[in-house]
Amino acid sequence: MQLEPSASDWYNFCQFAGVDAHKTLELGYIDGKKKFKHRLYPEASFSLPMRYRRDFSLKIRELVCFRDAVLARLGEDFWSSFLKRVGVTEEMFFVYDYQISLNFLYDLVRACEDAGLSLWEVALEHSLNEDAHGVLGPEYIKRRRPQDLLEGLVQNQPYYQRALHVELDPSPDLVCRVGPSLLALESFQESELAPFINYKVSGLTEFLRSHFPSATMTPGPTDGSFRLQA
Amino acid sequence: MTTSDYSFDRRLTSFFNSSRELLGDQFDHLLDGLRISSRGELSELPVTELLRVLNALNVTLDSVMTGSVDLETMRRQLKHREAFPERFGAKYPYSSRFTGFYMLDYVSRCFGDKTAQLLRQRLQLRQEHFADLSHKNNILLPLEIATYVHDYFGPDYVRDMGRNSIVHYRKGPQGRELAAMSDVSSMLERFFIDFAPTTVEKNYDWSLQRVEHDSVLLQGRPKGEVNEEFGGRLVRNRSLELLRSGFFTDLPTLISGHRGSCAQLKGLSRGDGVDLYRISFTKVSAAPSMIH
Repeated sequence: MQLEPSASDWYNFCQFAGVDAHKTLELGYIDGKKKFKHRLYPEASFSLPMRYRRDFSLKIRELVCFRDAVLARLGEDFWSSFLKRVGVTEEMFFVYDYQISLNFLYDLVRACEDAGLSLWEVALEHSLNEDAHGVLGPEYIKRRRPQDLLEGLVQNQPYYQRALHVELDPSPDLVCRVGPSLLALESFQESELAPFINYKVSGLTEFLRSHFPSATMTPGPTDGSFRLQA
Repeated sequence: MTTSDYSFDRRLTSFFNSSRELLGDQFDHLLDGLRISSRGELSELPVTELLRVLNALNVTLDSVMTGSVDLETMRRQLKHREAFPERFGAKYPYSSRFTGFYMLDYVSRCFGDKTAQLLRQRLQLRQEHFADLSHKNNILLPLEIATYVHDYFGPDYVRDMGRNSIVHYRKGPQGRELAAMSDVSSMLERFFIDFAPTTVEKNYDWSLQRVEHDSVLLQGRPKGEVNEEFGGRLVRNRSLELLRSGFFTDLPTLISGHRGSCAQLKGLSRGDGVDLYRISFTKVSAAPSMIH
């Protein structure tokens, strides 16, 4: 049996959280498309262990495909027991603008490795699904050229993460460069950020390829970069 | 149960009682069609089933709870899908339907089709209402769309929505004519003297207070009848000021190679009695080389 809140309870909660009650129920998640705030995302009041309050460089939106990958490969029990062990509530994953430390992602990746799953690779597959991007997903479907889609993905990074600095150099081909942000370097060594950089580069190129199979992408002039040919 | 929960339950019950009274058998047929039992209190339905009923009535949970559903429009729409909400059309329909169209187009592109669809539903509107953009409506329609975006997504998006309207405006006959001019000051004079009063902004009286080589000073206030009818809501609301501010920001860009900015110096929402904007503009050289 699935428990549901009463309409009054739900509306009351949504008023408190400042979200549209009807839309949130229809979508199944809360997504206000908000950029990073300096500290905790104030519209939700989940508690977080200190370890996950250190840098606040990820939004839940970035983690949705990781959650989906864990649920698909390791199941709900693994996911729930991991969250319980690290002291994070499951409800947090319905609020796409909520912020958390990159430490959370790294802890999840390590837990999955211990269970024999390479999470980076499987999350990449799930990131190709538009639903994993919240209200940004439909925006990507409407992009008509690979260049436009790449620009959209880069411009929307503030709605996903701020651990990495992602930029485009538009001439003569589009070169996309991904590197650590100053904020992330305050809390992590550059080498620690390398797996996330590699994941981000692969994520961008695979997302482009899934929408435009004929798009030509080659490694760029530096590590963590790629070139999209016009 | 808290006092507010109790009050929300009463609002739902009251909404369904009124709907049943107004719609009669039609309401029961609608429930039958959705395979929902009409016995018992509908307000006690599981929330997902409740949503199915509200979707069929083209209203939302939020609009029911805030008491903003127009029951007569709901009744008319059950007979004729495309019946237009009376509160947007009955008095002083000075706004082009195009304004609502571009605003909802922005919501759709920025926050997804589902958000735009549910925003229409919240206002008891339908896609069909935007099929013929020569139709008119009053200022409440853009006001309520802008207010929703302001309240749920923030003021930056309202301003951006106004800027986005220039993308549509430049494709129309007025936009093309203005884009062919060479001087931004003259172009803005032409816009505010010849075009704004008859098409773009018929709800307000605008006057150019000062025209300089790099800026204009623009003052506006709602027309007497608009102020009399809707003034209370306009005065309390900042969202339309932000929308206009966004539109004015990009107005100079109609002439290629120019960039604009807009500072609001006075506002109805601040209790100033008028809106006062300074629109500044400069020539730009080359496009920035990096996109972050």
